[in-house]
Amino acid sequence: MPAIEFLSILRTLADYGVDHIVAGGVAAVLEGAPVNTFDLDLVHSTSPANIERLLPALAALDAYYRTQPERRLRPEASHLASPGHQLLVTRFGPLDLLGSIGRGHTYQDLLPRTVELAAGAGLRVRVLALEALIAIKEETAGEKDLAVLPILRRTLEEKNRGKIKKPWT
Amino acid sequence: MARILIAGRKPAQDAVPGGFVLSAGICYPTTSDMPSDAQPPLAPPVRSEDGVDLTLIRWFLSLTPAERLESLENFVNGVLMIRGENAGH
Repeated sequence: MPAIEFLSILRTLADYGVDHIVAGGVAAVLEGAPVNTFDLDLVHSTSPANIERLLPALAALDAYYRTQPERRLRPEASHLASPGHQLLVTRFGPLDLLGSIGRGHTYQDLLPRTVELAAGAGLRVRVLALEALIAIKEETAGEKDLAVLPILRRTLEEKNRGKIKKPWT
Repeated sequence: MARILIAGRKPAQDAVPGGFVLSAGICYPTTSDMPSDAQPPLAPPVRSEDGVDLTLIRWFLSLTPAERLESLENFVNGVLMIRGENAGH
């Protein structure tokens, strides 16, 4: 497993103009929830134009399916156009590209429920808002989601109390 | 009436009688100023009812998003390094 550099993955996708929303644990972290994760979940736009930009970005990241790493299978346009989940590994760590999340929420559906945040080194990223993250985890309610939901809910409460000034948002 | 002042700061005569002044101008009463039935100011809770450590959340919220991401990367890579060193165990 290479050293994980989530920021480098996000930087590469930005360099290629890929439309995507940061979801999952990294979104929770960016929103201030003290949770841990080993992969980067992104909901990408499945529009043909975006997939045209996404393919060379994935090539630059040396992305292939981590389910059968020995075969180094690379995602194709038809895979990326589907609502399914592409579980990849890149030279900067694991990357899950999600055509949809929860009960079929796509990039377009989720766009109004996002915030833009500074992720470091001048990079701004679109992140699923904490409220939406909680709502979608409640929909799916897997064991992993149930474990993290109390932390997300309490983080949202603390944010809403407004005790912490957030000049960077 | 006891009055404790932080060095270099003027007494806050218009604040709570007695007590001491912090940099934010908040005046905290000392115990000798309190009526016998008074309680010290309540500290914010450290845990939620469902057991979540709120101090960690407050600390993490005090960071910028970039600092949070860096903290996550450092944590994950630290764990991976330890895993690598213990491979086969």
